[in-house]
Amino acid sequence: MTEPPANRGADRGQLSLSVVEAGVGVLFLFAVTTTFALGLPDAGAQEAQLDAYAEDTAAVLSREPPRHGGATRLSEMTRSRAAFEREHDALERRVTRILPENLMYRVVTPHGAVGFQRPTNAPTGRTTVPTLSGRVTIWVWYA
Amino acid sequence: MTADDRGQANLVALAVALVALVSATTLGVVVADGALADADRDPDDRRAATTVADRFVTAEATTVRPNVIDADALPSFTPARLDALAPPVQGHDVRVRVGETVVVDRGNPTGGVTVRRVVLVASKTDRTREFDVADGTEVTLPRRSPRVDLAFSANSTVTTVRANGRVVLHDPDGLDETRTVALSRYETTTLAFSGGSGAVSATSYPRQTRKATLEATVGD
Amino acid sequence: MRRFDGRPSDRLAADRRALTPAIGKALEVGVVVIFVGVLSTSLYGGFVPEYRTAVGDEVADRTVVSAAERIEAAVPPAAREVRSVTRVDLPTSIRGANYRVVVDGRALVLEHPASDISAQTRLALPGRVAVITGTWESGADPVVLIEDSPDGLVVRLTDRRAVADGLDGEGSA
Repeated sequence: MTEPPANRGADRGQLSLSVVEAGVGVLFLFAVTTTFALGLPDAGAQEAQLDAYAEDTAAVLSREPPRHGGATRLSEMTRSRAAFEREHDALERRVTRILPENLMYRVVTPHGAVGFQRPTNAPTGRTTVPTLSGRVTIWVWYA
Repeated sequence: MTADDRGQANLVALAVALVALVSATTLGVVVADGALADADRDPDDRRAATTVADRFVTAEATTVRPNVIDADALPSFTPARLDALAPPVQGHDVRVRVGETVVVDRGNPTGGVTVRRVVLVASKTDRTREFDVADGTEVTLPRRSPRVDLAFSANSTVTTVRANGRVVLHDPDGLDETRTVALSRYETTTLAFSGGSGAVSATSYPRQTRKATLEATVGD
Repeated sequence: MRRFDGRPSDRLAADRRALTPAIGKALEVGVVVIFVGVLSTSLYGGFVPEYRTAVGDEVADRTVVSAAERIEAAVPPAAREVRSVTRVDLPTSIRGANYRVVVDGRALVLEHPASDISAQTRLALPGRVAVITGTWESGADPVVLIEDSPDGLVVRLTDRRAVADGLDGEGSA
């Protein structure tokens, strides 16, 4: 006697469809929750603060009396390549003294650059100062 | 058929599924609440803090020149003056600190927005030197100063004083009394006396600057 | 006749089953419909409007602060004759409704039909500015018009079309 084929069919599909549907529903709700649990992108608050630091540094540097000749420390340094070579150590020390300790900087002049390498993935602040021989750009970021 | 068994189990499974959905929804609502609270950027407080810091660093009342704060203007700074200087901060708790000293304090703004600026703090000092001059004496003032007060003795016969080659005082009858000479801020000055001799007392007012961080904290 | 497959259903008589499948399914559908209804009502009646209002309040705060900053930045440096028109971007609607930005003394106030949404901030303008007036309606093209007057600068919040109409012979921008 052969068993009716429906016999084998009775062993399948014990998982209730409601549970599957509920599982899908719960997964969907988790997906929606995750979109706002992961948070929104940060506003430019950090960048604005870093920009302010860079502008302050530029303001202090461009109003400082020079060490030797020229109108200000910045213009003295950007006058020629030789002047830059001579002054860049002093500039590095001065910028390190001006900025708070948790900041790193890079000063780019027409004749060369002073400071650290700019990071690619951190927010940075920048400002540009025009001088007679070109533009000096100051970048600042959190260490 | 076992359809009737599944019919029974289906209702129970349905109940369990609904309970799971309700709890997932509740969890979602709780997370949404937290995310909404997090997304509050306090734009008003941030604007007040930025304005306070900016005005402090650039206004005439508090600075010698932009980014250089006048240390003598700080002790007498009141919250009312801060309100006039930066109107957006009216009605908020605020604290302004220059270096370690608290300049202005109103209420308790901890937990609010903080904006920092890098500044120099300039405090006035004065230095007086006395010396005798003759025709052609040159004296260099070691620190830069916006002006120098020269007090000549009563019997001096000095007729001309030059600062860095530029004639600043001239009196053919001999300079006497105290005269004030304005000096260049960008160069050190060398005073050259000519025409006679006398005793001079020179008072210069160099400004000493030190670096500080200005912190403006504004709460609700 | 006896069957040898041993399925339990065969041991039960037909009238001993608790529910027929049809009624079981109908009950399921009914329960699900009620559940969806209750959940929708509670969400849309309670949570969702509250959240929309909270978000609207935050957007209003940011809008008024950004508008104030644009106005302050639009004031030109001291000069003899001044006339400047500056475009400002405002959101078209907040919480689905149109709003107005008005001036109250030296403060900028955002008025919204929903009573829970409002924002204001004080303007920090230089002493050269004598008067600030005007209103912005959302949805139009808001501009800041700054003109000279015998007492000082006059800052007016208007519409771009109103400014363009006033430019005789220059056409609309």
